[in-house]
Amino acid sequence: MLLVGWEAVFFWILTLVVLFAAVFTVSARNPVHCALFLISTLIGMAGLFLLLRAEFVAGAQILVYVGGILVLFLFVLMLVNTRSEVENPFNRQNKLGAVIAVLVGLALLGATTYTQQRGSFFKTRPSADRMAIENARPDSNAPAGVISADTETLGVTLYTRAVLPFEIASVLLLMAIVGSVLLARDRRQEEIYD
Amino acid sequence: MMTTFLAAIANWAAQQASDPSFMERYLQGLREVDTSKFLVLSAIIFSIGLGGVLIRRNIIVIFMSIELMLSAANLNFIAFARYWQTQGGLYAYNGHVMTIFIIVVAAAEAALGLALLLALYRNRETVAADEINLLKW
Amino acid sequence: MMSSWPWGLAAWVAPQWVASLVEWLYKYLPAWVTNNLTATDATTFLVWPLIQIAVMLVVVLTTVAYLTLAERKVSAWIQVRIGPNRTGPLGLLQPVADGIKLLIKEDVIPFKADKAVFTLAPIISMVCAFIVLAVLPYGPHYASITDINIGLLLILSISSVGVLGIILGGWASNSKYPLLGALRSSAQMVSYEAAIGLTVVSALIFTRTFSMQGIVEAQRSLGVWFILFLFPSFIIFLVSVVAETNRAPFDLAEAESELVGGFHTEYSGFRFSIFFIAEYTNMVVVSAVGTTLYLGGWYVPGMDAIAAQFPEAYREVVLTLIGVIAFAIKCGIILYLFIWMRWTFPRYRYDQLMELGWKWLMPAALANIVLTATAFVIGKELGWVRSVSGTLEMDWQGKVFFTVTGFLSTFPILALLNAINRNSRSFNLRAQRTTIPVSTRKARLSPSVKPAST
Repeated sequence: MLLVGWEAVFFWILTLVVLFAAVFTVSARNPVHCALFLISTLIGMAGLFLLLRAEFVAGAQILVYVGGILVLFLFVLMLVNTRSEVENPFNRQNKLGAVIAVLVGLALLGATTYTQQRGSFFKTRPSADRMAIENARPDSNAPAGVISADTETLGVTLYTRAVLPFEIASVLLLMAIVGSVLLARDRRQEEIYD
Repeated sequence: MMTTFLAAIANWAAQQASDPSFMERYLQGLREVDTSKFLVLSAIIFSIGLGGVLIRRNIIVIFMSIELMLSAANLNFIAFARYWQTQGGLYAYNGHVMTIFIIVVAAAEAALGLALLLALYRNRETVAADEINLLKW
Repeated sequence: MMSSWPWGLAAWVAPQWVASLVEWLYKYLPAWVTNNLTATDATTFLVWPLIQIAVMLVVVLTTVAYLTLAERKVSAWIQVRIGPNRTGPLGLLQPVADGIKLLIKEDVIPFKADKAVFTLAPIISMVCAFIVLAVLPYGPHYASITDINIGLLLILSISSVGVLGIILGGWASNSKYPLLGALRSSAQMVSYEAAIGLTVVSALIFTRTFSMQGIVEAQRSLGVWFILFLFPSFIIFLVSVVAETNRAPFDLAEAESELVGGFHTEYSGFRFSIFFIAEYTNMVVVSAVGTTLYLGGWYVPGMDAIAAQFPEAYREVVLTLIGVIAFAIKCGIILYLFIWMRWTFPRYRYDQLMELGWKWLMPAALANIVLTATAFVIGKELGWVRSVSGTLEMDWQGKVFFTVTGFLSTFPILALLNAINRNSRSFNLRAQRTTIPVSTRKARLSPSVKPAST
């Protein structure tokens, strides 16, 4: 897969957006600001999914993740009302935690770049037969504006090859609904239902 | 040991910068975006999320960093799904299916985790992770 | 037909004219632009969409402004009075007067409010309301800005993001009533979004694509509007979108007599007008989605026959004109329904509202999916519906069958709702009566008070 031209430009713009928003997510003082930056990160990642021809997943990410899960986060943030101007946002192990995160990041980066074929991060030299394969299939390299059958194929796959995880996921969601209603009851409500 | 490590990095950087075709290869790498760039981006976001989990005090922000890590994994899956699409389409939709299930699991986990957090807040009046320390010695 | 110069002029105002203009301009541009961007690419992706966006924005913003005036006039006529008629002839300059008034008001930010989020919240609402306008099918050929193949999914997603503007607006005001109003409003919107999403799925069984132009093309190829096949779905959709946009009778969270103003209490001047524009644009968007899904979008059944009477070169322009006018009329009908409903029904109490969303509309939408899919499979087995290279083909028996099953499916849905809500407190007074214990049925008076009738 090779993104060239305008798709590469959009890739770099979205990368910058996602990286800046991710850094501010973990380092903003006010948790509501963290939530807002996480929303920016997730919408940026939905844009990256669109570049990778995963249209349904991009739409589902915005609908479920941003429109559902982050709304839930904001609800809880408002009910829990911390006084963030007073206290320190970072805990006492912050320096050690940062070092560990940087080391894990370097390890992951090393793993991804080491396993590439004869290239590093700055050099893209795909092998000759790989380029031959990619050039032999022009339609799979068509730009992202071409209408594809992504949703339909994904639906067919979910209902034929991935039917068991699908049903298990529905049971998982039922369990989450019942569990969260049960766990978030306060004492007065428990006395009513007991 | 630290100084020798830094000296080695400086040496490599000087060597790369003195190479005249370095800028050319760098710009060519920028112009052609391959699967590897997506994997590197996913690794960076994952480590940022990991840093958030380890650094922050507010439990809700820790949850948000976990969501960030799950998003990074999603990006990785989708990048590989696209790669397999261009390589004959055999495992082309595995990544999409896996991403849908990761989103489902993230939703379930967020709902249950925040419900637990609300129950915790009612008892302890705080959402800072290091003030919930009744079981410490 | 008649004189040919207006039609020639109309045919001139076509994309080909823009393309030739851009090609002529390209002779004067520097080399680094022309090497990286061809003239046809620039026309297709840059210049022509900008013209379309400019035209669309002007039209939609004028519609939104005059929708406020239409609401005041129509509500006045329902209440047997005349609406605004002093500012300009028939009150037509009233939106201009409102806009100027809101612009010159003082910009007040509450004490200790988070300034960044306070500024950002109305912007999020408005941006999300306006992004959706890019994928709506205003007409055939070139009257829609773009056609994404996940258009409907994008509309649902961006509407979900618009809820965030309300939550943040209420939170950033640093005040009790806006916070409560915001939480209530957003909980209501999220609940009814579930019902909308499920209802739309039953319409997707017939259209087989998320793309908005594809939905209209499906109705055009079948020659029917989907409201015939999907009547209960249309009713559920209509009620859900009225609740989704926080319009009466579901406007408890922002009505003046209830929570002062809900989430936009502390907003004044231009920021309030941004929330206002966002709300009315949301109304326009959901009525556009409703006309696309159920009322046929820009398709009217005699369209091609009318266009065939014109010469070949003008056929596209005539089709576009008819399509745009038809779309506008249908949106106008649904918007009139919105305004009409506001002044006809009393307001729902908040727990009744949430009960309606979760216990009535969502099970009804789910049952509708099951019943529609069952009818579709039966129709396929009997051969009245065939899927030919991705599109549906249906002969007249199929259309009659689906219309009949569409109307008959209301009965199982109502039976299901009855079974679920039989003992619900708010809607079933007989159930309420039997739960009151016997001892309170006769009021106990104190001994010094003699009852009125012995």
